[in-house]
Amino acid sequence: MFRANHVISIASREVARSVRDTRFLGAFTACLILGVGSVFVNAHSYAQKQREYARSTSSYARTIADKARLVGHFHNSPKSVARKPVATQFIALAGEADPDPRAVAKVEYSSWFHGELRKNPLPGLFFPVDLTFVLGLVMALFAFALTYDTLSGEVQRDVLRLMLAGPVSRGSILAGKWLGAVLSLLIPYTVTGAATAAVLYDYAQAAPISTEDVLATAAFFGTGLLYLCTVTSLALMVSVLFRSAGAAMVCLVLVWLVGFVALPYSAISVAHVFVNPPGAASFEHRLGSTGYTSMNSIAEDNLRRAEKRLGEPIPAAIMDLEYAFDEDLVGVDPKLREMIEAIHDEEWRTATGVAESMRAACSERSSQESLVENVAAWLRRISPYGCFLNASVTLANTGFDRELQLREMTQRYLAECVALCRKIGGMNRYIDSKLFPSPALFEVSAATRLARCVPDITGILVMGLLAFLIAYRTFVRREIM
Amino acid sequence: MDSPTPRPSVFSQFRECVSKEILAGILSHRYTLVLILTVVAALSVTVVRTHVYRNQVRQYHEGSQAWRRTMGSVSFAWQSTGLGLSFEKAPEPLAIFAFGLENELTRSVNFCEYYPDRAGLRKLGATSFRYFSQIDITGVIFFGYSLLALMLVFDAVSAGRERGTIRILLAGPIRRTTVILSKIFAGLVTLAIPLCLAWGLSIGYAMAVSGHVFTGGELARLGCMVAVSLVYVGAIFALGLAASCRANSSNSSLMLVLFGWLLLVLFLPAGAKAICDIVYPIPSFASVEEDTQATQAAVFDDRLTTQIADEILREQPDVSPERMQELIQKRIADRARNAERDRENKMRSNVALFGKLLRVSPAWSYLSVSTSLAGTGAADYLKFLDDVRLFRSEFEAASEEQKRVADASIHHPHAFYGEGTPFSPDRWPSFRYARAPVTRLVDAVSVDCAWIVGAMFLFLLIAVVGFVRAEV
Repeated sequence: MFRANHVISIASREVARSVRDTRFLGAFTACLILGVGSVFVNAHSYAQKQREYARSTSSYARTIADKARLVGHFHNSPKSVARKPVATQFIALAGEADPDPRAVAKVEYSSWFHGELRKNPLPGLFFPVDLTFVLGLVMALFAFALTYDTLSGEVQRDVLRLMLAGPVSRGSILAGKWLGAVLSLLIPYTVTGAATAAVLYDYAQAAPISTEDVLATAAFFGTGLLYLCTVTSLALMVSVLFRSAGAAMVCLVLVWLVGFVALPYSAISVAHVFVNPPGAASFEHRLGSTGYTSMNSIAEDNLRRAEKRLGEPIPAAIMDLEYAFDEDLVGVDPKLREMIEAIHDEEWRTATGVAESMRAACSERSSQESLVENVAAWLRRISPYGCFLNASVTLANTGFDRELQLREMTQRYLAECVALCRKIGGMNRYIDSKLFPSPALFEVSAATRLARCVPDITGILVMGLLAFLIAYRTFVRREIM
Repeated sequence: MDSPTPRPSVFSQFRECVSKEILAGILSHRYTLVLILTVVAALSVTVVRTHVYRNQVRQYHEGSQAWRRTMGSVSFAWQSTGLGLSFEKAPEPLAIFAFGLENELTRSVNFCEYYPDRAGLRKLGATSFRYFSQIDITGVIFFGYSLLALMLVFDAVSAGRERGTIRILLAGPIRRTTVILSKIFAGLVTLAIPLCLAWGLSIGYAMAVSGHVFTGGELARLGCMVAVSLVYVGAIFALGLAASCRANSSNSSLMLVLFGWLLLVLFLPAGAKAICDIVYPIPSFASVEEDTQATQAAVFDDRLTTQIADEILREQPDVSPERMQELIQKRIADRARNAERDRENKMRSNVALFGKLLRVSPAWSYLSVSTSLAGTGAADYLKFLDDVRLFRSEFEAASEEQKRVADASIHHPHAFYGEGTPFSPDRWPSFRYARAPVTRLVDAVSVDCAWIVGAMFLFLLIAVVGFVRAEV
């Protein structure tokens, strides 16, 4: 079936032929320039976002420390949570392409990430260029351009019949051509990888990258290699199936357009057709109306509930007095003090309740959006590029999982702020800024990210093996006229 | 002696060549595949887009009613500006065909006292795959059909040169210009057929199912979109033919067209963005907030107030104390908004430069024209921002007026709980948005249209000259 020395001999000849072809030069140049260019631009963008993030968080910390010296001020101040940029966005931009930069949390409304209105919206029209795009789409197209006539061209030129007349098995020929194509493509791939490492090293100070991110990047390039093998198998399969090189090329372009571009990128739109979460407007209304309702009824309802607890009426004028006393209500009549404290308790209860209902609404929305994302992810797995895209986004940690983490972080932060105020109690009490909680984001390890990619990596492997088997079976049985 | 056979006229030769080319093209397997794929892709995306549009319209109406109910529960104007007033633009029906910036245009806008205007949730596409989730028929043509057109034409001349058939053809009594012009004409006709079919079916489906009655103006815009897409495909075809005429072999021609397509369609915008960010960097949101807060903090600094008061006194020596107070507050508010205004001006310059740089590519000119015609382009986004600003100023003016009327009650110690400026949604201004007027539309598209037509003729000229002068 396969003889190693024949396979190696054919592969080395293929590599030698390939590197002398103008197509190879074009592919090499395009992938190197675009790959390195994309890493450079994205690393620069990350460095910028990192600076803005640091500026935003320190500015917020200063503002809140200056203004929020009393519990009441801290409780009522808007809490701003900036989105932390991702170092590995050069792998797959995904959610980092045009992120909503901050969430503003206040007790009457939610901590959901909001967008900037006044920005240049035009970049949203086109593909953001990242390594996944260059290595996954562009390199695949060039791989097709390099290999479409590997067998169909030789059939047309009558070279294959001469080759088969010798003591070389068909399996060895096919394996040799496959290996030669992979090795040819490995040259620009490796050079691009090395250049990427050089750019990232250069940016290490301005755009630091952690050990976990380095491991994730290595895993990305490993997955990319597997993907390259699958793409080569696919190209070889089409080259075997078609007798004419022109027809093979057109077929491969069609496969590229449909399987590599249309299917993966339209998966989310198709998922929305089948799984339609409630509209954004109704969700925003729900969050907004909770805030309005709480604001309107907070005074009246709190008063009524406090009266019920105490078992006696409380004059409405008491609510004006709570701020008139010092923080510990020193020197206040015990009866009056009891009423004020009852009202305070109800205020905190309401605040906590509103925050919880906001959190529940946000969680519900997140789980609905997660369902759409999961359906889209499975639809993408029909295509090898879709699997590669899923894996890249997971390894880069720029997908929907990160969005969920960020939302959870902001909700947790708001809840911690409310809990702190409640613990200290008394709107007029001083609060030490050292006690202020900070939004904490737990980073996902490279091992966890790789584990999440297993279905996608398996998909790439299975499709590659299948394509090679079909190519082998067809080639072995074909009559070469 | 027999008289010599009269030489066929140039026109009859041309007609014969064209009909042969058209037949050869239409009857090929490649063409059949391209036709089926184009029609299926265009119809599929239109089905999805129409479904999405219907959903958006339903949600828009539900959302508008819900917000009116919420506003109805608001008692006082300060509550609305304190918590935030939300509104959004209605979905655009022509976005079914050219989605463009619709996902940004349909975001709700929230403004309140505490921070600059915020954009709410995007209606479509989850956060991780926003880009290219907006696939539409314009995108199919811009991206898919253009590449397929190149695949049909990349070896139109180079393959004939390799096989030697061009030499045999030119050995006969036929001019080179006739051969190349017939190829051009036949190619344009064969490429127009799937495109017209795809558009016709898509428009028919959208009209039947979307639930929107397309007006005469909208149908005219659709007609223009079809015409521009034909010219765009013609330009791409001309590019492929020029490469085929210039290249020595089909392989070289293939690499040329792929390179050219990738550059024009995919990579140019990335470079354009980098250039725009260097020339007109947009100040960050954080820096605007810091400047705004610094100005507001300076209010507590008597030096700023004194400085502004001196400026006012120099301009209006007879100003009353109450009016002076109003003017001081207004100027402080204006200063606080300077950073925001500066940011917006830089953003507009950034957008304008970006649009100009993208014109290098006829592909992006096509996208720009289509989205402008659909009302989802850059000019529409900037108009939307103008309308947001106008609404905000109208609302603030109405709020100031109401505050002046109910001034005494606002300062009452119990105003927080029971009294203040009453708020009734029906009596306050509403957000109004209309598409950019026709004059602005013509300004937005004329240069791009001219460039696409110009590019087509330029590439055709290169092809003709390349073929006529080439040694076969």
